[in-house]
Amino acid sequence: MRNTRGIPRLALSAVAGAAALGMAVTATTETASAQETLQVGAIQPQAGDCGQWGIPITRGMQIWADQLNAEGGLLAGDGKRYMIEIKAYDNVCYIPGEELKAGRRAILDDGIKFMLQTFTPGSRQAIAQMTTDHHVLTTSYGAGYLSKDHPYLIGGITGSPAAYMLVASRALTANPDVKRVAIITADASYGLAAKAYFEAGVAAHPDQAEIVYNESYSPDATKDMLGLLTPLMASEPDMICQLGFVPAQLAIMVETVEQLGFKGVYCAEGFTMPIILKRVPAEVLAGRMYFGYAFEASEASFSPKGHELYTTYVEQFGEDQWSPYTPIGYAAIGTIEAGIRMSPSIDSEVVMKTLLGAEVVDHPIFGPSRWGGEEIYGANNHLLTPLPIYNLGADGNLVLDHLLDHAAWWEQHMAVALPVLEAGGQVFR
Amino acid sequence: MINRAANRQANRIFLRACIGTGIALPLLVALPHALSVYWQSVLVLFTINAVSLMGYRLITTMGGWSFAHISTAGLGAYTTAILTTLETPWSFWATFFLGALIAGAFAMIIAYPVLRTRHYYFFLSTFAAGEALRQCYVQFSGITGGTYGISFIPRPEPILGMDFGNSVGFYYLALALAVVVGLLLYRFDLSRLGHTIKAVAANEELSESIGINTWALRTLPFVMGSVVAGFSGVLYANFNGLINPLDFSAVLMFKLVAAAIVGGITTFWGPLVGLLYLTALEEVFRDFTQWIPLLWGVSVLGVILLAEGGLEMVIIRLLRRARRWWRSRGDRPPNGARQRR
Repeated sequence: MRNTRGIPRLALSAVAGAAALGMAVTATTETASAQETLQVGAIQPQAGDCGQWGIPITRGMQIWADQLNAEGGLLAGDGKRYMIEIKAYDNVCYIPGEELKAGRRAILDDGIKFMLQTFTPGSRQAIAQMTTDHHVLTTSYGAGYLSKDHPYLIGGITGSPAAYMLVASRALTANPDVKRVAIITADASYGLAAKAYFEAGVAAHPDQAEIVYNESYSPDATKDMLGLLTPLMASEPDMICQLGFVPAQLAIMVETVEQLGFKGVYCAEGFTMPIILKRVPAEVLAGRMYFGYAFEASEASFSPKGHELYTTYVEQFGEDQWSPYTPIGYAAIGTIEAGIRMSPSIDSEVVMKTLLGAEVVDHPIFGPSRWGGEEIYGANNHLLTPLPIYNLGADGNLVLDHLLDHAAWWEQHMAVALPVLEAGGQVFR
Repeated sequence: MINRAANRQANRIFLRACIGTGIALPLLVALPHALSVYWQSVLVLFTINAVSLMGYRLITTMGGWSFAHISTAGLGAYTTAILTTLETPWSFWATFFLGALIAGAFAMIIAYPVLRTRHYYFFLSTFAAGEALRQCYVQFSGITGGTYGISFIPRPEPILGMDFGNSVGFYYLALALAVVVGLLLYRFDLSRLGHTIKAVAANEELSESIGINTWALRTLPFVMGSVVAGFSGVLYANFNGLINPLDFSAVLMFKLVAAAIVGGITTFWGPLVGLLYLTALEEVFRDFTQWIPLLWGVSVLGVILLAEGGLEMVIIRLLRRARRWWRSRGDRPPNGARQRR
């Protein structure tokens, strides 16, 4: 009796022990899997004036990593979870030589295999060969420069510089009374790209508008904003498209041209509204500020997931610190996230091939999107995501003005836009 | 008689330098194999900067601190970048010498106005000339690519089976240039001509009064130093594979000047010690890139306040002290015995 009762008890104990051991092993394995860390590099300005762009972009990436890590890590296509660690590298102010230096540190020294960098064509070219040689999948908030010879460089979202073309075009469509366009851009690689894309956006409306002012400025000239903007205002524009002023300078620019009597519309990649609204009241600017880059997370209707980024950011850094540049890093790295989720392995070569081989990429913010860019870059490595374009409401909040289908716009206007981009040195086929 | 003795002395010193280089060379050749790919690239850039700095030190021997050196190096860089990326590209080796020649020709042209100035005015006039040249890189965008720069500059074609496509091969090219330039400039520094240039720098009026052509002796090192800068510019462009006007900005120029001040320019090796220090500083604080010029500036001030003459003087003083200590060991009386007064 004792024995007969003892055997099942022993068996039960053995089964329970085995189950406990199994659970422990499973738990250990899961913990070990979850603790495998994937380093993701971010080459951005980390100080100085350009830090007004680079720091919010890097913070956006950090929040992306924190959100995934809070879920136990990024669930990759191989079935394992990977914790994400963001490593920031300073390119000073999108200087190609500094990009190369930062790229060497990230790729050669730290062995980074997934990375985000600027769209600035000169900077993308600076590390293009290195990313190819060392298989580093490098996304950007836009394309800037892509090539079939450098398949590891991808354009993660519509972003820059294509957005300049699309925003200019949208502003013209929404304001048929705009006839005279002024373009002012920084005399730098990114500024020259923006110049050509703004021109292409205006060229898509040949019967409506003409460019009456189109100049590049040296970054040193921004210290004398009145001197810089007086010739622009002398051209009597109805619309001003700009790229290159850091957020604080852009606020001064808006204030200056308002004081000089400008009543038209603005187009830009982004406006840091908290800074601008300290200088010019919202009711004056309402309905005149067209911008679009990735998405504006403070506006909740476009993407609930994206809006979480805004609430997290505001909790961490305060509302005053919110920047329209934060979502661009968040959105662009989302393309690599989509690639890792799809790929059977986290090997960067496999991820690259899986991502570029996919007919449709399910982007975490923009949803299903297709690759494009062949006509400009000779390679379909640019993910053409829809571009939400925003404007300022009278209450000082941003409103979603229009959701523009990049691929459809390009199909409609390519014939006039492509020659303009070619003349501006932005076609790299 | 005195000249001959001085020449023999110079030859002896130079021979010692050659032997020292011969001993160090196997270590320098082996060095990249002990380093990661990243540190190999740091080593290559250090060697290229060392070449440029040797040329810069030569210019300082004539008594002026040029601020156009990096822009002049840019001429070498743009020469190779433009010509090797043409539809029918030139050979790197042709541009290697052409780039240096163009840099020398530019120095010859600006020598006339800038060498009429002295001291701070020389510094300012070379700064103006350098900035004007850098602006040309920006403004003549049809040739130079403007602010966009020039990308995908090819590496040198293999020569004698040597592949320069990787960092190690390129390092050997830079090292070969550094050794040749270093030995030539060191011999020049020891020569009668080198001493005369320094004498002119010390007292130009007195030198002129005894019939020395001071103009020629100020122009010669300026042009020679610029030719060396041209060589370094060519290598810089080819190693990085891209150039941009910002690569030749005042920041890099300041690095060279700071290396010369921190290391000192009395000895031939002083500026190289300074460059080593600044490069180490750059790597230690690499996560704070935009603070690096500030750290360089603090180092310059620190050396001026605490180590007059630069690190070379600190090293020389330490060596002298060590030598004295070593000698005094031999003179020391036996244990327990006291020396009588």
